[in-house]
Amino acid sequence: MEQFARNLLLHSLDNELAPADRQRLDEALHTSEALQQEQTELLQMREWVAALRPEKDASFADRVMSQLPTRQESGFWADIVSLSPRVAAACAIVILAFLLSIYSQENKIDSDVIIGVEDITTDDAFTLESERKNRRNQKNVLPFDAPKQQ
Amino acid sequence: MRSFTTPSDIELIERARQGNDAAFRVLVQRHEQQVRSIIIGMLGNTAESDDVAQEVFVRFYRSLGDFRGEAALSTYLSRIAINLSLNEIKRRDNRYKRFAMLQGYELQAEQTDNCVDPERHDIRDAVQKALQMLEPDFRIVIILRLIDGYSVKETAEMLELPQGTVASRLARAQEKMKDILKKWNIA
Repeated sequence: MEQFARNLLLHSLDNELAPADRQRLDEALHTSEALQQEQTELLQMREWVAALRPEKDASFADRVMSQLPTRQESGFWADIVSLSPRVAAACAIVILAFLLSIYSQENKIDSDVIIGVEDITTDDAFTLESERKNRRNQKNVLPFDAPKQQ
Repeated sequence: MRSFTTPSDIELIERARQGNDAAFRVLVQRHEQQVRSIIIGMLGNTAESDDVAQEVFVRFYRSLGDFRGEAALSTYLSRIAINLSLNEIKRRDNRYKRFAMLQGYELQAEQTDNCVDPERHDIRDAVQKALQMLEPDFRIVIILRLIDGYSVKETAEMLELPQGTVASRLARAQEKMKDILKKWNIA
């Protein structure tokens, strides 16, 4: 009975009790000094806990405002990084690894090396073009033993 | 009804979206106490708590465009504060575990011993420390209900828990806190 009354007491502090339970609790409080003591202690403790609410901090808003990203920062890339920093970091690592592998093979990094055209000269370009034309012409000539289409 | 001198949160958010930082500052001033009370309650009154509280508002600033006003701003900020506090508690636990592993002893015991020293603290400090000794699940219901003054129903909605669960956690948390304070001869 004592434990039941204690549970009712605890619940009564934050919830509306059913009329029958309210009556039981009132009766128990009326007869039990221990329960009255319990109620006093709980109410005292709740007051102490409520007093933990911090005072207003006048300089807090200044600290927050100094942390805010500037409008320029909140552009496309900044938005991507803020949406998913992990994905952005992973992409940066992949790009860095790619560049490092190119550097380790070629010992230099420039746009031609990255695209893969660093050894091609203008003459090479003409040679490649004429080879491409020759191949196209050869494809248009039918072999001797090929059956003629009706 | 609000007067012209006290714009609503929604009005201030709209102005902040249009680049008015002064409006955002008013929102920070209006809600800082509540956000700080959640974070200090969860993490204790440390410099780290202040950083986390600032982070709540920085995140809110970044997501100003996404805030649709379906929940009250206080609820929205409280949710961010709870999530960031829980993340910080996890990070802190991991740091303690790593450090304890390196040192080869259990840090938790030493930490508890430091707390149980009622002689050194006044009641406010002791109550704060007793709150820190509760499990985070119990701590948060105490903070929302007893410090921030949300009803059981509002607390349940904020934590996305059934009201009955919140009510029973609240009852058990109060019992635990009372036992801790009694042990320190404070209750």
